[in-house]
Amino acid sequence: MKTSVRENVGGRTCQWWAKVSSIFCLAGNMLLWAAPAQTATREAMLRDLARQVIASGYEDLDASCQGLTNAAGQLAETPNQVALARARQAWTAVAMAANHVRCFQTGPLVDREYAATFYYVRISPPAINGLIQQTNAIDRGQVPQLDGNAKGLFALEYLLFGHKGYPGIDKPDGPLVLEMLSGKGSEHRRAYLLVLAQDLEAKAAQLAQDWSSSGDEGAAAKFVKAGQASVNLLVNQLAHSIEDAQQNHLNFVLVLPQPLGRQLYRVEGSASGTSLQGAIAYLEGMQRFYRGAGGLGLADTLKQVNAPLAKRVEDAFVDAISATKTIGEPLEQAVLDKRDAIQNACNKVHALEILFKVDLASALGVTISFTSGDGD
Amino acid sequence: MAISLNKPREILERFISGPVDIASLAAFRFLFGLLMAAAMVRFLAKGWIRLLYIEPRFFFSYPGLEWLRPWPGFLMHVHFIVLAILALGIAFGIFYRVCIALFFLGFTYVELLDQTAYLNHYYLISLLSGLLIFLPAHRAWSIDVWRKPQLRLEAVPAWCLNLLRFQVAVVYVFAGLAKFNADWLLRAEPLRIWLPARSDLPLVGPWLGQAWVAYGASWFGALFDTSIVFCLLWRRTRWPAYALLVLFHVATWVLFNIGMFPWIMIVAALLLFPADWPRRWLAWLRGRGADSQTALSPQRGGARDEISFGLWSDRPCSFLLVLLAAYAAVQVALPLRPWLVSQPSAWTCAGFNCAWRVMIAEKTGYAEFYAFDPSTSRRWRLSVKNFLTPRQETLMAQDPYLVRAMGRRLAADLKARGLVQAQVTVDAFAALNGRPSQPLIDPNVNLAGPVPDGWIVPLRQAE
Repeated sequence: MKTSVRENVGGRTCQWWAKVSSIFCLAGNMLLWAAPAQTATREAMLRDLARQVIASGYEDLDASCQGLTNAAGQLAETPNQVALARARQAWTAVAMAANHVRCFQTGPLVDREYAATFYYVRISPPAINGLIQQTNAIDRGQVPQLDGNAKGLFALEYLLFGHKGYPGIDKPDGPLVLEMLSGKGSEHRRAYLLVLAQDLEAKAAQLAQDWSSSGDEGAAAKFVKAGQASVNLLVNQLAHSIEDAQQNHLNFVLVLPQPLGRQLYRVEGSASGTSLQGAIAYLEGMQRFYRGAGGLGLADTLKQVNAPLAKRVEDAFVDAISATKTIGEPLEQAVLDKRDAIQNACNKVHALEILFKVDLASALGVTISFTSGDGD
Repeated sequence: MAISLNKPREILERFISGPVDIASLAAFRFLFGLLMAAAMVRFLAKGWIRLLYIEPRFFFSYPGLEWLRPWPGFLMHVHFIVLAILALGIAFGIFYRVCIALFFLGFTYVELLDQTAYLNHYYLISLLSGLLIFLPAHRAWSIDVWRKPQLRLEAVPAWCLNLLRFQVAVVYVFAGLAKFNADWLLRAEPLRIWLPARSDLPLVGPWLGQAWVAYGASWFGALFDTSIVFCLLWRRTRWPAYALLVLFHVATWVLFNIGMFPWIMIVAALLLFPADWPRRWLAWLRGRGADSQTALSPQRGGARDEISFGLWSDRPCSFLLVLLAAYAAVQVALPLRPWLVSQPSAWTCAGFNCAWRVMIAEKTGYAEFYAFDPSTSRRWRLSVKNFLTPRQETLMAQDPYLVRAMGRRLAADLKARGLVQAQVTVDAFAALNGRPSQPLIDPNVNLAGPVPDGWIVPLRQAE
């Protein structure tokens, strides 16, 4: 009797499970059959960003680095005013290209430890001069062993533009640069300049190749494949960069202690007079990630979940860049006579920062998936 | 028809002191111990000890517990290793009382170190392990019984099991009631934000970006949480309800970062099954059916005299009744706090914790502190990066009370540097459940002193 009851119960259970399984199979088929476009849009956005913003940004950097190497070669060969002007122009082009992709410091740039080559490191003129005065000229093989404060983009800035009142050094400023590159015993300085430019070019070429290479192991493919994790990373990096632009570029000059003249060497790009240009390029680089560059950008994903917010962020970007452009002269100069304009730009970038960190992060669900640890 | 006046009392007596099979309690002890051991190993493996307890230089202490500090350096790792060993001791019933008491103290200590580390399921773990200290969960299927057979019990007074059942019911029911609000039901928030963020999941992913899915999931979630306890208690719906429960919790585990919570609830829900479920399952696995002799069935008329209570009294003493009633009252009162205030607790964070308000808020915050020295009229920005980790900073910015605590800490720091009169204010913004960001705290309030009423800016409901 007991057995037959159990058999009945077992039979009913089997029927129940069979029904449930059928429903799940049916539901699974329906899901496969008609998938909406949300994921496709995000994938397309990441693919477009990888190709049209990141890879293209590194290709620009690579091209400008080639230009710098050529200009540095000409300057090393025939050090004169024209060659110096060309080399300075080429350096500025590299700095701006680097600033355009500065807000996304992840992937090969970090894995290969190249960030300090392209982004601001306070260099040490005494260290560089010490290396130049050594018996033998520096060759390319020695560059990796050099200290970080004696190589990279900003060591080149010192060699091409001089410096703005570096403490402990009396006079080597802009006008003396050509003299130092062409005078007696300047071969080592010119060789060093060329070696640093070649190092920069090689690294930029490597990064461009990393991002443009096809296949599953390429940086672009990994970026697209990571899906929401890439969106999270992008939002966090952009938020961090907006804060960095506000705090370490615009606001930085406002809070420099007096006398300002002795502090200006601390302003990024002050030697080359590109501090404002660099800040604008930095912000425009972020805007390219947000808008996309001829393809989809972060804004397109945001539009799907909160179109009014996407418009507010777009407007905030335009306001911030426009206010920064309004400053109109290098920050180290503007801090003396246009403090209000810098303050205004600071406020606009700050507004963008809050919008990004609070509204945008919340709307894209970045917070739940980017916190360390559990939640509930 | 005569109604027995003694019936409610009899029901209460049976509810409290009636004998129930110890099997459910022992199985829960075993599964809970294993889960906790896994949780501690997971904590170690993910490097969260360094992140949560070693890297921070400032802790958001609970009021009155400012003296509580993490162990120095690697000892915090040792602490978690010991917790994992204690959890295994609980699972296998080795020196159970010592293990469960130390586990409760050790785990609760960790939980109380920093308010930013609060999680509902950590709170639940503390409550369950605290209750288990007083329950004879080791007196069957344990090494303690194997060592000392005289400890062995077949049954325990019903309150032992019903207390745990009550605790599980409180979690589900209040988590469900918390979802009956406009954001959850009418705007499908925060699921409308969270689900699209998981749209890269295979198969179901593409659907998660659809608004109707978020609405459906919201309504289903609210109904599920409020009704699941009753469905599990009712024999006819028990099995489909449990299958649904497993599906539900596994889905939440896949979709959200909620760690061990789903697994704890999948295990804890078994407490709502009849007390002899483990014997029935074992018998079924052995192919002997549910009515096997291994099953003790006092609820089905088993001879009460034959059940050994050992040292456990079957008579409810008034002290025990008072204790149980007080515990139950506290557990019901705590989740009711958010219902007594005018502003949403997800916004003010008043009464939000310990109230089973699970997964109902997507909140992002931003806080920038300023110092103002009235003697020089100088105002300057204060960085919190010297005090807080990025994780702490993110979590602090969402909670006005943590922002105030940070403000006080910064004020104390200024005072120590001789700026006795310095005031500390904050520009704090937050966005809740998809609304545009808005000020969270009055930017004119000096956080260094007593804060006035209305220091938390009310939430603008309209989007």
